[in-house]
Amino acid sequence: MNWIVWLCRLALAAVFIGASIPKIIQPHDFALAVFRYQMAPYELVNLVALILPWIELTAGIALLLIPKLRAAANLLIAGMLAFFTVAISINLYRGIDIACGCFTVNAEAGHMGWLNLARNIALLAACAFLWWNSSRKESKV
Amino acid sequence: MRDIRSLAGGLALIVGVAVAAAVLANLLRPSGRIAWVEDWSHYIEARALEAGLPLADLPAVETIVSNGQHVVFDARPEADYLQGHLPGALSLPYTEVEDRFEDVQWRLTPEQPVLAYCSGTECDESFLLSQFLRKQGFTNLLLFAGGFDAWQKAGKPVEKGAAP
Repeated sequence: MNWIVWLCRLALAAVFIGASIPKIIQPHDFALAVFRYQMAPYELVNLVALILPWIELTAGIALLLIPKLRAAANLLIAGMLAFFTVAISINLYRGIDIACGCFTVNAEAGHMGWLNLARNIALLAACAFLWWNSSRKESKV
Repeated sequence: MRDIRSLAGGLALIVGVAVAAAVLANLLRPSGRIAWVEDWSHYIEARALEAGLPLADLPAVETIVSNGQHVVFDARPEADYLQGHLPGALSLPYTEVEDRFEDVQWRLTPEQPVLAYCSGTECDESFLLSQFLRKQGFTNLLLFAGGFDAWQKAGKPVEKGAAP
């Protein structure tokens, strides 16, 4: 069981840390991606683009390396995944055809689709598994 | 109870560290920091001007719609077009432009004046459509950045359903 736990942690941390780096390096390009989702008020676009990638990075590192913060990091990552899933779904439904802005800030990158949703749901399942596993351990103690 | 408290503490700690790092990183950014708050409402206009694409304001669009010399393209998804569009506009969703362009191309010469719009200032399909048309050789392009929102808010007439 232990190796599945570590696999889930590794996958989630790798995805979130990997996703945060290009956004941190090119905040204005990421702001454009946020703008194109047509969900944040204009005044908040840059703030979201500046802060969100750092939350992804910190949560990813905490999940992997800081046992005391694992539960909080897991919850935060699940929250972000749920939020991204809703945002992608809304824009797929609205027919707004934009790049995902998930792992690259390049607006010409492949446009998002159902695969992005499927990936998010798989990652959410990993979060749920970690949560279930840690509460199971606690109840044994 | 202690669990929830330690969980909330953990959340606050992670978010706090992230916000502090974000602020520091933006202050110390070697390539120049970006604005904390930026007015994105003129983003499309700015890009159009940068690309040398002329803009049409509401009165200009009214004239264009009433004298009918321009072909007006609605760059939004077709479902939005069917619910309401500028009188005489044709649907050419940017997301399907490569499949749909042939349907309208036969009506047009490269000198044909064209006006493009999408839903409003938060969309850039009209800008992207204009760029696409420019690549196809069109030389007389205009962009209505206010889009359908501005038209509707001004109480201008709206047509529904498919083009005749």
